[in-house]
Amino acid sequence: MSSLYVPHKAIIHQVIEESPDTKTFRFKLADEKLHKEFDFKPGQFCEFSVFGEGESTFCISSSPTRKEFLDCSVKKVGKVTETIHKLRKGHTIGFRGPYGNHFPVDELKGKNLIFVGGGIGLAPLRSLIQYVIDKREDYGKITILYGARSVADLCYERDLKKWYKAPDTDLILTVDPGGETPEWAGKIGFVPTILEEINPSKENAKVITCGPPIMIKFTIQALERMGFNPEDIITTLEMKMKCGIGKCGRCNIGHIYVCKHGPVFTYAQIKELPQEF
Amino acid sequence: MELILKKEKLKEFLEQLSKNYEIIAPVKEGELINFKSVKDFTKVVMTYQKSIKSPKEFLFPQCEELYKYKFSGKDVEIKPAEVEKKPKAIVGIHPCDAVAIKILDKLFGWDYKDELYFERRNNTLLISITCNTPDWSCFCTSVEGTPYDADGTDIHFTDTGETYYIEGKSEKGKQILQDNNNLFTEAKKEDKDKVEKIKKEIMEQVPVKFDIKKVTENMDCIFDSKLWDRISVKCIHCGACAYLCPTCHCFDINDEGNYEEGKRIRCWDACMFGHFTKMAGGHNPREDEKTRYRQRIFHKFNYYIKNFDTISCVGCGRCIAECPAGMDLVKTLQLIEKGAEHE
Amino acid sequence: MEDIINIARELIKRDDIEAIIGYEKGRAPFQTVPFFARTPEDCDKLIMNSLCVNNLVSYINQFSGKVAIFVKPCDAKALVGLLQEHQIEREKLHIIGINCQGALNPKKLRNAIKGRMVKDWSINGDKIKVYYESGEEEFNIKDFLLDKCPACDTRTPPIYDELLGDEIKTADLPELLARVKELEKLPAAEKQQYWNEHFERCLRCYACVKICPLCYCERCFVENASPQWIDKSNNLKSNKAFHLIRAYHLAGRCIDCGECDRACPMDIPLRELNLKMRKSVEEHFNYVPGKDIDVPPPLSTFKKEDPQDFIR
Repeated sequence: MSSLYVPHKAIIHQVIEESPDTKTFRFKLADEKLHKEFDFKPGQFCEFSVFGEGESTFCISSSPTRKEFLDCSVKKVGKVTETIHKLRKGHTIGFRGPYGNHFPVDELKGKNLIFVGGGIGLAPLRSLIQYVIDKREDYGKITILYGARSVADLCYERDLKKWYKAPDTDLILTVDPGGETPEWAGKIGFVPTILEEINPSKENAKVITCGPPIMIKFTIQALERMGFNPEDIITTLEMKMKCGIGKCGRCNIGHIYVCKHGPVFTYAQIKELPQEF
Repeated sequence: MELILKKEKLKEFLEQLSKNYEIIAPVKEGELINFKSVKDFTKVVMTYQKSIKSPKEFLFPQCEELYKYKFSGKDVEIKPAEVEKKPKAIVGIHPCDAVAIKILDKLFGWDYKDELYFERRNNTLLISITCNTPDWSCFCTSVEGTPYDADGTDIHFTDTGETYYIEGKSEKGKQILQDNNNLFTEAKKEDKDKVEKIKKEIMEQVPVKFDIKKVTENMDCIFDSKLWDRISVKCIHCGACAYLCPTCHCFDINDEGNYEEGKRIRCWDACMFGHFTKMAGGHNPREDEKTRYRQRIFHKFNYYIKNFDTISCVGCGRCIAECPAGMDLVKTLQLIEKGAEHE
Repeated sequence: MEDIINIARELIKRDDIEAIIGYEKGRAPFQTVPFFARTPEDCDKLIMNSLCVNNLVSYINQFSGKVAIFVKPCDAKALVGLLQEHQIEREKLHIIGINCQGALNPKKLRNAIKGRMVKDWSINGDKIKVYYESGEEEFNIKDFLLDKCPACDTRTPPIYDELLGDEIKTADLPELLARVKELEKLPAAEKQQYWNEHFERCLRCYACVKICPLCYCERCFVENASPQWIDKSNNLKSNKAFHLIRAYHLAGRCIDCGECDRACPMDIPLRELNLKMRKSVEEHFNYVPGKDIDVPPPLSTFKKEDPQDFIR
């Protein structure tokens, strides 16, 4: 009997509109016992399915420290995500996971953490940010730099408000030039530019970044200029996935399977990969 | 355990075997040799030149159901797929195709054990036969194989002309031979000598085409070589090579049905197709023919070694013999053997 | 052979020609493979004989600059189609026409040598000579022609810039559509059975699509995910739908180069399907694709006085 590819049933509890093209789906595994026992680490991903449409790969954007619900944030980019966006409270979906490696939550202990996110790229970071805020005493200073194309494209408004008030935590928001509104009180400029402007200390620090490929590229360049070591820059990679468990053969970059060895990599590891992603 | 089976008794042996096993064997379909579920054992062609497909599809079907789903109101019922219960015997598998199964085992058992594959695998008897009809495209001897050594099978046949020389390999295989010992006679020394001679003669028919150690050593420094541009031009990116290959295993997962009921299936997919790595947003890390062809070669001769300690090619030559564009894996590997400096 | 090498060597010297598309000898007995000569030395590898079977025109658009191409009548017919459909720029081509008296089926020949190891082979007139490790054997070319060849009425390419040899006229050919007519006569159930048996074998490797010079859609309908026209699984239902839709897409366009037949690893007689469409188009529109670049293809031509209502 196959169980490897058979998803658990999950029930949508709430749908949150994050931006014009992004929604967060808050759900619970239908089997309550299973839901209680379900565990994962920040950075891991899952296969989320709409029966009749197919599976899509998303990171779990909630933290394992908040067990009541699981969150997946979905940007509308294609056929499956379009259907996912039609889901409402009470709908049943399929869920397989958790898969892949995770952010090195133990290694990060005692470190100052700098989060650099762009657009929907904040989703995996959100899981880790919630996690470290919930275990606040284990980690050093937190700096969160988050940007989006426009004010409307900033996701997780409710979280941002909480993080703003969290202890020993700096939250800097920015929007691309032209994306501001008259009331906008945050920064205006591209994420890498603002990062260099706020110039966080590299002492005892680790950077965790995720966003559009172009943002990651320039963020890493900025970090290198600021003297950060490649080992201290952590990001997640995205490739097309189907099985999530290292079998279907399409998410490899060189011999590294993003679904099994990743999706979390340090920049030092990424530099060793063939440039084919 | 070495025995002799007269050729006219093969039918009887298969009949005995079919009491417990579904018999999968090579049969002729037009000009093609194809492995099929057989009931009429007179149709079985034990001595044949390369079946068009490898019998991998009996362990890893081209398309298989993973589960069915059916909604009633908001709730959905999920029914996982079950594999066929009756054991299968794959009869007449060539050593290259048998070795390929061991290569597939590694991938399907990689951390997550693929139950559908292993339920079939553990329920399948493998009866191999020495390949005494290699053709121009065969190169098993270049990838550390031989036309007669089918490691990992249960029973091995060698066609000696009038008879089959039979070796019991696994405990299960030996038991089957024992249970049917009325069909066999003991092999004598001259039978053994004859088989050794046959093996030697076949080896000469499959000369070594390249030094696989050199090839795999050179792989790491050839990723960015201009070689790929040059050799991939001819490729038309169809999936013939991948679908005929006994070790290719990439697949796709899709739903067939509607939002009320249907099934989730997995089907073979191929790295030569453009959509294979194309992401929902449009980005494709392996957009052109060069990167896709390179992926195929690297997957087999570099990545697989790094992850599973073996190359994933058995030298069956199907990808060469059947490529409509005349792509030649042996030529590619010979170029790699020479190294990037010979571009 | 010297002719084509000399022509190629002269052409590649020209600044405006990026590559010459032709054939070289393959590793297998009786195998030739597409070859792209970029230097004078490359040109020495070029060959041209009745074992040059691949249709080369699909490769033209792989090159950004001007190319010279050796075309047999089959390739030239495909070129006519592609030029009519504006897929290739005429100015970017130098076409060298090669006459053809029929091409050989390399697989048939390989079967004829019964597994013997071939050292070399050569073609002289209507004979093919095979040299084994010891001894040699001669075969008659006419016994090994591809199915498409005996009835073919195009022995000289319908389009070229220069032609090797003189134009060839044909006479007393066997009937091209004989097989189609035979199949048409079958009762519906038998016809169904015949095609089902073939389609059941389809692997959906799309070798037929990818080899076809006229199948150039950037995104083939089989790959489309939204809407998904055809199941991904290779069951009879979707295999049949795939091949029938493809045949319709090629109606009035297929120039009968038979590459789909040759490419199919599972020996599905796709050419028969395409010939049936050819027959219908010829009957209804008196049109045969690939013959004349100046005759507009009926299925992509709009006429105000069209006798049928639906199009007006």
